[in-house]
Amino acid sequence: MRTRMKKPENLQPNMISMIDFVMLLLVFFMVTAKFRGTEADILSLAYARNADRVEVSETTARFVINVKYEETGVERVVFTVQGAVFDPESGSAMDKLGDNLRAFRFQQPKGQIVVRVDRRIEYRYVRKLQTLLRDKLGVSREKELTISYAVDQNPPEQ
Amino acid sequence: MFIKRKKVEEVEAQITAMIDMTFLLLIFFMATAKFVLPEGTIPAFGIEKAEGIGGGVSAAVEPYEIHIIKSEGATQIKGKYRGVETEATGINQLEPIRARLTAYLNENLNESGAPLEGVEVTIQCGDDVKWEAMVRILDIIRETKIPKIRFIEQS
Repeated sequence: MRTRMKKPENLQPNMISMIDFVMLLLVFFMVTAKFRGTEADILSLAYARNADRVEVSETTARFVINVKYEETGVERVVFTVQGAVFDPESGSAMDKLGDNLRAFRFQQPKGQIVVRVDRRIEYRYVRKLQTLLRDKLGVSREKELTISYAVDQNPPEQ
Repeated sequence: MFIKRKKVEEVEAQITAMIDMTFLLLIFFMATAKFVLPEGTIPAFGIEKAEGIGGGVSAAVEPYEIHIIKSEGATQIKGKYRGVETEATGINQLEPIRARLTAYLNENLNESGAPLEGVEVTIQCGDDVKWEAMVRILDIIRETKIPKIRFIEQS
């Protein structure tokens, strides 16, 4: 008896769905990758578990002041705002920073003031900045101003 | 006239090499990816002069006072409310302060469970205290859900 043989089926894997999937993964990683903006100087922030999360899509205007060691090898603390450096020991620099703050408050009354402090820095510098904010923005108990202190939400590696 | 047409060559994209590359890239990204949480913020009111405490606004409740100083190289934290003092030595020994803050909040809740007006923590900090110690205190206060934090200039 003669049997009819089936034609061998084409057993090539379906590449299209696999490529679709790989591309999806690639796009996911590319979209979730984050790039630091110019305002966010790389600082060693202190860790806190119970902080408010800052939403990435937040459109609120922010005035970010960094309190950090100057990158010159000398242990000198400076305030920086979008790349501009202010010496906390200089009266004229503090006046200029105060003017910038006043201008920001005038243009953005609901804007947020964010203070990012290196965790190794002594409180005296933060106090200086807090005093500047109070004196230049005329903040009193009746006219309160909330300052947001930036913290790291990732536990330090052991 | 009959023109002989050339046979159309079959053009096939070489996808094997592309898939190899894509996989290599994918494995690289997956192996090196580090998921980090974005920065958070802790809100607090600006600094107030020491003589201004309690003035201006009539509060129903006294604030809980925290004093942070550096003594002989160690950070000391003292909490004070209605004359009762609580002390902690070192920023890793803050449990007594946290317990007192929780008790302070629980003592000062209204009928609906919301904090009464004036429930707040005031912080006075020595100039030579590291900012990291301050953030540990701020973290503990936030954990207890006390709504207001205020800095006071050292007298």
